[in-house]
Amino acid sequence: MIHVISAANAQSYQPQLEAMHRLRWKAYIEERKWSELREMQAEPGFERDQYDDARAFYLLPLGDDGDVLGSMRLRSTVDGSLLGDRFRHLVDDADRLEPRPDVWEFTRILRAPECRDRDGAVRFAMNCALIEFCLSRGIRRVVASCDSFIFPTTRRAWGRKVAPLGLPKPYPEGEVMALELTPDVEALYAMRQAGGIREPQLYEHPAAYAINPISLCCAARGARASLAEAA
Amino acid sequence: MSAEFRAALEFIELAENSRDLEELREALEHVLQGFGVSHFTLARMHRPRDGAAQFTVSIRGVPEAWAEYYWSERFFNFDSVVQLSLQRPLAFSWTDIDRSRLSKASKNLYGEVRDALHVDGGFVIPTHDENGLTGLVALYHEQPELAKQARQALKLIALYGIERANELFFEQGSPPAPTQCPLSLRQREILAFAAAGKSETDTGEILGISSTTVREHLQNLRATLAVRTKMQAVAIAVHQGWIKP
Repeated sequence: MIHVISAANAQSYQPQLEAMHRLRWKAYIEERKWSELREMQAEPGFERDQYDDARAFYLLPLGDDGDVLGSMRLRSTVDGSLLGDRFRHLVDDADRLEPRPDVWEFTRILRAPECRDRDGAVRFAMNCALIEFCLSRGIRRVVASCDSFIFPTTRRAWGRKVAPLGLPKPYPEGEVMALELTPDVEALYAMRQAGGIREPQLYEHPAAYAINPISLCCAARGARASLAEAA
Repeated sequence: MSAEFRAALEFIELAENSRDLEELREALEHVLQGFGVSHFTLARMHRPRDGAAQFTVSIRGVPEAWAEYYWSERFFNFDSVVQLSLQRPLAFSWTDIDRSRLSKASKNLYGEVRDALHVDGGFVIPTHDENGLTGLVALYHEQPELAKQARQALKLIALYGIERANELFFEQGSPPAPTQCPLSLRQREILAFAAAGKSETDTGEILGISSTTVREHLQNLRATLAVRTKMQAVAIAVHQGWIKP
């Protein structure tokens, strides 16, 4: 299940948000060694940037125990975007970056090391959830900048629903390119087929809910332990 | 829109609409001619769930006689282009390769390529995903160097070309690549001694070659099988029946 977290319900997900920032530190600072990003960090062990604000949405795959298995950040281009503000040179046609409420950017897409298996179960679930999120909010296009080594798996998952926005460009730790995704119903159908997924993946817990989804996870864990003990 | 990006987009459109590998080859040939590339090869790394990774050429844009000669001589075993592609995801030209560290056979190969294809430059575009090398496009051209924008466009072309070649390969229902042993007789001998617990020095003495040569063979066969350690190579070779346990 992929949980939607925003300013509206962040209070219920504080441990998961902290775990996400730790995961991002491991992925970007320790594994990919992004030196410039490291210099920007105020708190070692947690990766954050200016786009982690009240307008950001996070799609987090959570395990049965509420553990964070990956992360994805989304925001409307109207609210400012990494691609528009810092990586405009990656986009050949500037019109594609015109801020629009139906064009969002997704960034900081990653999976925990234990979920980077070749079956890609978490990857397909995250992609399905992304499309479901976009369909629920009338988002017509999603733009992103990503390392070019991410492109092959993106192309395999999205087929013709992914298009380059410009040529790949080198940066000190690798090579980056800008992409555009079309998250429509066709894409959702194809993604579910490819990933063997039958149910909706997105779980959005409105802030008004009386039951905290994390407590549900804990309850499920307790129930499972009781059943195991009884067996 | 830059001319290079437009050329890449045109190729992507043609590639997406290609119905088979021959049509993809034609699309690739067409776009590469615009960049002054006279010959090319597109190779894919197939990683089956169980078994050894297989490096196979899917599209040949070189004279058939040269391609046959290259494969019959197992040049890929010591071709520095293949070995460097396994290690790094960024494109490189022949001039980026440190020739002083190459084996004599590997150095000679450059001369052979130049003579056979009448080219002065080579540009190699490996593509990687999270699991490592997914394929490479090797380009041979008359100019010693390509312009920066052209290099970037060619990277995008390679990314799409290799992914589309993969799709077409499986859509066409082609039989899986042959599991014939990609190792030379000498490499199999050395691997068999490694499986028997012999050191590189022992193996060298038995075969009458230096331990450095043994190490070089081991390095090459690890690159061919796309594995990191000698024991991983042994495991694959035993599993495939190339050496006896």
